[in-house]
Amino acid sequence: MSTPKDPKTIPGDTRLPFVIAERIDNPTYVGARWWFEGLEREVDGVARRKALLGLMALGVGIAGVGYGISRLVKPSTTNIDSDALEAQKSYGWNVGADGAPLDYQAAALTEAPEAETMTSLAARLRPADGAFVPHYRATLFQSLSATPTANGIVDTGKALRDQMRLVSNTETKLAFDKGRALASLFENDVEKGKTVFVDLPGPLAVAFAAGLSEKMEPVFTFDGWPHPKGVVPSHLTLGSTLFYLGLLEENAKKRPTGAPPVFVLDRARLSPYDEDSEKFDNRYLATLPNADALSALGLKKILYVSTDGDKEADDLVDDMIAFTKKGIEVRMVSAAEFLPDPASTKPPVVLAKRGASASYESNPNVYYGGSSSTHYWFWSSYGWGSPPRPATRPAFVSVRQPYVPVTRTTPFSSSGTGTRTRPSDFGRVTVHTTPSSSKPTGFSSSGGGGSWGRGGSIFGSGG
Amino acid sequence: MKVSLFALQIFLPLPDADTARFGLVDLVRTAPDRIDFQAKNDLYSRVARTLLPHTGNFVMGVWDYIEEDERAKSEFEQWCEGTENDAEEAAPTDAYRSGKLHMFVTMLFLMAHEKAADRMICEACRMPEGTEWQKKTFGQLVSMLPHLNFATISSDAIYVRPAASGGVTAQELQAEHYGYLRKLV
Repeated sequence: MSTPKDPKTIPGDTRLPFVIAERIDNPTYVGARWWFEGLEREVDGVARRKALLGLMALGVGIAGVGYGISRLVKPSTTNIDSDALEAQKSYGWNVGADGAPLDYQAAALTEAPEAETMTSLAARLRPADGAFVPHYRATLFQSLSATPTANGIVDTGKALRDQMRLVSNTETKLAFDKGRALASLFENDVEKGKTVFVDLPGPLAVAFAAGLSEKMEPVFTFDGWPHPKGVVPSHLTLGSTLFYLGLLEENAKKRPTGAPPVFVLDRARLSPYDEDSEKFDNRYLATLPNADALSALGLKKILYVSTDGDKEADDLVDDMIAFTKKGIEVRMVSAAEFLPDPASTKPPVVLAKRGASASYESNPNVYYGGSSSTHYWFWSSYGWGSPPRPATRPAFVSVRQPYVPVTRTTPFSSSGTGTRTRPSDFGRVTVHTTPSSSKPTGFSSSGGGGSWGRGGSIFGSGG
Repeated sequence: MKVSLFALQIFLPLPDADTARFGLVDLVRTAPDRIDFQAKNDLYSRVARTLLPHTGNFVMGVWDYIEEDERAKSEFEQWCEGTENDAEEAAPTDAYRSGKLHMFVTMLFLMAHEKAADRMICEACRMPEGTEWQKKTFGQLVSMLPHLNFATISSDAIYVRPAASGGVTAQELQAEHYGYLRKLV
């Protein structure tokens, strides 16, 4: 690959990530090629760390590395096998990785949230409608104010708060605009009996739900804690929630009473575990109301928003079938079907103030099918009522068969028992402690491969 | 690091597209040598805003998305070096004997495999069969560029021909060199 001959010779602020590699400018051509050296270094750094762990396993000691392999070099270690969340509640969110930083991979702003905002987050996001409260999971938000229950451990909640950053980038902004585009399809209030399940990678799910929150009440279901080495990057979800908190609260005041719920799930809860012993298996299963509970809430129609619109998450197959059997109609839409309209140039809309000097803005040029002319075709595609306005079929939306949940075997199948199965090696860790200290010296995860066990990325999602 | 490549090349007729050319040349010429993620988004926002009003004039083009690491790196290198060599060797166009002239813009993105930008492009490239070579498709692809997360892009390049007068001649377009181009409908 071509790289700049000597980046130091390129004038300008050396902290800026992209550096010119080649520039041409003559009457025939003008062009420029840039190179982001840091990205390669970061990814290669991960590979190097894995290689170091390989050396450790061969008995080459390196001070300061003490995660999963610590038991190989410390025979006096006691191992405690535990549910990952329980281990975190006992020993702190960063159990076994004390002092390790959270990795934001450039997803975050430099802004840190206020401490009071973080410690009150779980209460502030509790649904206003009491009927939805039993289905709200404050687990993730509680991590910011939790104190470990095991004796002799310092307040690690503060360590998490110290590392928290607001998460907002081009991806979350687009997801927010997509949520607003979906909300705009409901020209008036969302009719009773309808609900939306947003099942996207955490930060995007939060942003999408924030976009919908003008018309629907978000019910968050994030049931895991962040960890510096977590398989699920829950800290990004938390950072995105903290970013949109002001708008969520503003919309809660404006929203009509009795607005239907939007259940918000982190698709990365089933993130792949790639047999990397450095990782902490903080995965968890979805916690949604069952068919009876949905009926009790008067909900008869579900729109399931997924990344690709192809199929439901593996841990929701049985739920979807149960909903259908109960007479609850389920439709599935891909978030990718909401796109910016290249021909539309409406300026950004300022929605609300964010803190003292910033604001929440939205791009109003995002539509179902990528055009204002196709926007209302959504109603024809999903059969949730008649299009309130004329629309044309979008060329960019694949013609899909209507979604019908089909029985398929997954690692989480209930096998007819009605209770979802959790694999024995899913969301579990082994915490390593030594007799001389009650503080864990490391951990190892017991997750394996399986059909849900490959791939992964910053906002990655599992199968 | 494993990478994927997204390459997009669009041809527009001259002088109809001269305003697009002026705008793009100016954007590339004034783009800084050192640049941050936000400025990258701004640059491609301006590129999109310059190009999209001319979507109806997207007469030929090609796009490619390559997930295979080695091939992605090699194709990126070939695109860049081929264009950069061409820039040194191409003779000025004889504006009076060249017939209909075209301009083109080439944009290349080498993205960390399965990271944010790669995923967004991968989604954008999933399109119904038969729409791959439509002007609107190319417009849609251009409109995605401002939304890329540049924190996950290893290298990017943008080339515009011609920078000043001239352009790609009808004779050149008929040569094998441009045989890969698709007519857009």
